[in-house]
Amino acid sequence: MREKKDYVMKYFSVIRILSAIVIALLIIFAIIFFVSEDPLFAIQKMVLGPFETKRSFFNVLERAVPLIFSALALNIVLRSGVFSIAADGSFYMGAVVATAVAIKVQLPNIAHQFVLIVAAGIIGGLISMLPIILNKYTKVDATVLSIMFNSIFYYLGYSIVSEYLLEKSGQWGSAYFPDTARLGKMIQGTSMHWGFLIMVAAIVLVIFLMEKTSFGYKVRVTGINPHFAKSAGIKTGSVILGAAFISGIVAGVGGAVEMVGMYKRFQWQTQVNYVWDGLMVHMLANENPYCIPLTAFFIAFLRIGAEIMSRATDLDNEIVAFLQCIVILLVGSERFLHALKARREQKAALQQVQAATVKGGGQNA
Amino acid sequence: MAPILEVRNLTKIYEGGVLANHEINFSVEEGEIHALVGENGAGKSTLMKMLYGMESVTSGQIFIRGKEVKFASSKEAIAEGIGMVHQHFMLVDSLTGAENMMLGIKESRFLTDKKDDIRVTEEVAAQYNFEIDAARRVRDMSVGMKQKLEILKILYRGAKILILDEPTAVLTPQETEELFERLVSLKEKGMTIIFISHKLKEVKQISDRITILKGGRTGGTYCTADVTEEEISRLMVGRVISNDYDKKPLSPERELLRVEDVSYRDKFQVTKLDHVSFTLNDKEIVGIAGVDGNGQSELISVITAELRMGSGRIVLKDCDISHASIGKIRNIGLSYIPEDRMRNGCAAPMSVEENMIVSNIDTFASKMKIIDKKKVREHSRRLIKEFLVKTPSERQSIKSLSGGNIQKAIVAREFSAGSDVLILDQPTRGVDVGAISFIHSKILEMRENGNGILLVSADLNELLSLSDRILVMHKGKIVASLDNRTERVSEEELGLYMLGIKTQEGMAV
Amino acid sequence: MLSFLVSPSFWASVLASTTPVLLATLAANIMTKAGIFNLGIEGTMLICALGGVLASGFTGSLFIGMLVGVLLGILVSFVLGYFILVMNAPMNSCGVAINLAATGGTVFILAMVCGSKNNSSSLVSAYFPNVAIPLLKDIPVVGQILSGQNAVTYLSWIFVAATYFLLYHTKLGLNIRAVGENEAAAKSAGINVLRIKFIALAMCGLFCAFGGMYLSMGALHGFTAGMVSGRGFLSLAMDAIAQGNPLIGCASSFLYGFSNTITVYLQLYSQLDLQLISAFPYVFILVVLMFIQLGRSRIEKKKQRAQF
Repeated sequence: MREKKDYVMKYFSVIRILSAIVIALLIIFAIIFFVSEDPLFAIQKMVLGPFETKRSFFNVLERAVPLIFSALALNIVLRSGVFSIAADGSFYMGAVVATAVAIKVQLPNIAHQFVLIVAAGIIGGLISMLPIILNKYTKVDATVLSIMFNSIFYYLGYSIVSEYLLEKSGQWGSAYFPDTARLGKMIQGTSMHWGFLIMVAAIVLVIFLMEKTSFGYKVRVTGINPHFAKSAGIKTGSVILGAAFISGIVAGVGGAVEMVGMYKRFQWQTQVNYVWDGLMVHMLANENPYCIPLTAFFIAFLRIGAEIMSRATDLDNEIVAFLQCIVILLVGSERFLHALKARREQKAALQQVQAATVKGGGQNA
Repeated sequence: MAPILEVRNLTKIYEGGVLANHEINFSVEEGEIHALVGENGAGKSTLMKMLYGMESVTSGQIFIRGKEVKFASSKEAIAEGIGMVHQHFMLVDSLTGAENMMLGIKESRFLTDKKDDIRVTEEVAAQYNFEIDAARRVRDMSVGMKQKLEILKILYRGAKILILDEPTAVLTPQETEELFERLVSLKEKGMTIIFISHKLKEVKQISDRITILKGGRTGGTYCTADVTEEEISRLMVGRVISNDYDKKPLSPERELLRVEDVSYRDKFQVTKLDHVSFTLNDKEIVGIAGVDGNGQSELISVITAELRMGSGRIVLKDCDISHASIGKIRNIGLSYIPEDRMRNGCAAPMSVEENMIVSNIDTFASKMKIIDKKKVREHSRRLIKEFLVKTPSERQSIKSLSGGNIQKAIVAREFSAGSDVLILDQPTRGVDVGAISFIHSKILEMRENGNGILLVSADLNELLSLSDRILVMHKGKIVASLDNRTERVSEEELGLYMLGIKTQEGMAV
Repeated sequence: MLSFLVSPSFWASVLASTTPVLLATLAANIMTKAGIFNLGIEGTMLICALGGVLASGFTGSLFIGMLVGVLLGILVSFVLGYFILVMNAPMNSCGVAINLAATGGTVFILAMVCGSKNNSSSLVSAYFPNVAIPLLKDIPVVGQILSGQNAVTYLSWIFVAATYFLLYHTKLGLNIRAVGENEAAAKSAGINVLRIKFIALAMCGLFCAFGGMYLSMGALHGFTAGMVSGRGFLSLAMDAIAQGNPLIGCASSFLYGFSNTITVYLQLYSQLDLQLISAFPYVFILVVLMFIQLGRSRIEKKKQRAQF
């Protein structure tokens, strides 16, 4: 009996997240039953579709790449206690910078990719610092600033491509990347590219930074209790700025990797908004970078599954949006499954008191 | 006749499993001033919040005039004639006095009528002989006026039972006197008043009966006339007041901290520190005494770089730290236990281990800034053992520990940082008896190890039993420097300095 | 090149492009006053824009379309409020959730109902008429600017005045402001905080609904995927300028409308072929916001000094 109790308390956050996902999936299935001619086939396509071919399975992995970059970027900055989503601007501009370097600079293979990724990272980092710096001097809310900057950088990036990098003929898009700039295929017969390895490196580095270094430790303390961090001698301002910079680097590199890994030329005419998916991945991972790959694959799996379903049936793939919404709402809710925990805590507190009175009875008298 | 308010076996457990009240029992008669006393953390505020419907009751019963009541919100408590004046005023700053007065009153009117509101407010004020400026915005009012507005607000809502939560903590002596006159006249008008305080002198002066709270339980109800202040304080604290420690006579050899002519004015340009100067040497404990709000916390904040002084100089181990950051000050050799341990002393959801390395994190990291997990673990295990922190493991989150154990963990962290100067701001506030004597023994140990310790405490007994010297602050000045080394300063004498009745020669300008 | 600045049609378009942002800003204003940071205004508008189009398209009735749009707005705001206020979820992520559901969900429903992921052109929906105001329309210049606007534009002006009046001259407004500024105080005064916040949320939903429907049933006659395109987010910046005051909110929305229209005119009528100019309204609002905020903190400092 006692062991079972500890089990629930120990894995409480996992239980919560899993139940949220289950509830959300049930609602999605209910919607499918409601609108589809052949609901069972649709659900089967959605759930099993990604396993059907080698190509579609690897589609999941490569779809996870931008999600993981965005989620890692958010993980760093959100855990410093600032709700800035400037990673979106960093990601988009990272792709633009990568495009510019790919087209305008001639370098041998490997060096070319290296240079464009580094450039994208630096620009991304600088962009993410902007809202933090302006917030310090003008006291305008960093969230509002970051959203405004995302729009501004989208227009800026778009016009840079339009002005300087455009392929004059055909559909809107930049010139084609030279082979030296692209990340080659890692596995033939799929669109899996070497960016996957860069992503793995990014995961390792971010986990290392956040969990193993004194900088990551300072970021976490600052995010949890800035007053305490300050009185313990941590320079919270620089820590937050540093976190934003690194977060932007990750996002910028993510944009570059996605661009030269997945595409032959720059064709993003709208804001790509990976940041919202990244936010969801970050939340589902319970702010724990170790779990980000897993949750990112899960979201990517759903996305690809939904796309396969939409190709095979009458349903549109955007149905996943409802799932995302429900999961975020439930996982964020403090009171979701709260009773499960509260009762246990109360019992434990009473037990503690009783134990103390039995033991300390003589002492008090 | 049944008492107007009775509480039976009231228990409150907060979310997260903190037990604040355990089987509280007491009753209040109609038309009396009933004082509720207890140390910080004894559960007074929680009890009052339950009576006022702001916190849910975990178990137990509340009776009003013999009838059991269950409050889901303050609104229902107000309907039963209970009104509460909170320590932090429940007023909306940007609204006027009259608007605050009328806030939440059920009326058929849809539109506001500013003139009428002001007229009604002034009428009510006149009825109880209170003077307030109803048209003024609350943010422009003095503290005393805000409090009067609060009391009027609850009277206007038909309160018969007034709960006042530490009402004098924010008042000047004149304002306190005025408040007491008003309270007595309200009593004469038939109101019942529950007066929460830990200032025994005031309790003795104004109350008819006293209920004592200790560690979340009731420690009995007494007629005020039958008990002396000493008896109350003994019941409150639950231990013999005087604890004598075996303090080795040590002679200081060098100066560690020098505060020179430091002045500080707050954002309202009120002088909080007025040319304060003193020194702290090694192997000594310097206590700072004073009634709350006479500049002690500002002094600590200025030394620890949380506030910037207006003028003066602070020298730590021959380094001028007047404009240094707290990080630099800590590096030079100063550790600090803040007054509010949950706000400034720890990161609640993080583990005990992680909380134990925060102020010296860089000593656990290699050149590459990588944290040496093994070193951290060894360090935290050693500290947990040495400072008797009761925790299932070093990876337990610190918020799940009791107040005393959290404080021991913080003390462990700060004492092990290797700093020469230790600044302790209320190191044993809200901590259980066992932890107090343990922390005291550690403080004395640090003294013998050659540290200089600056101790700020509201607990006079703590000051008297630990300090080598005691500095008394009054209105931002140091009014006395008393030698406590060979012969103990008497509590009465200390009290005279603290209240500003006596000033040492040559101290005040 | 800037000769269009004196043409009445320019100023008429300024008013037209102000309308959706004005309504969104009004929604943000009331949320700020009630102490809620609503990141989901963008999504709420989008949902209402589609809801109004579909409902009016299927029933052929403008009134039913409007009603469905408004009810959807209130419903979405209530869902947001339920999770923030009752379930204790963080405001930011709840707003994000609403936006995600809106961007994807509207496309899903559009595809299901209209067979296209981009627009509702297969469905003939109703729209709010343009209104020529008698007498006013005959005045030269002024008439050309002020008369003949969309009905929702006039409605939005009425909303501004009504909201201002509600906030500063009614008991309800007093309660909303009290709840937003000091929730504990309002609670202890016996105000039902939850009820007040939900009333504010309902108003927010109402304004979002008209803001969204203006886009799909006024400015355009049909729904296009993602048609709110950041106006909901912009409203948060406007509100940061206004700090909850609907009149200042109105003024800053007008400023946006002006900068946005200039951008459009410059792209249309000037030789400059510069995409970058699309960013101008954002940069402009950002700069205004930062200057105002800097000024505010300076005044605050002075006040504190003057007090003693």
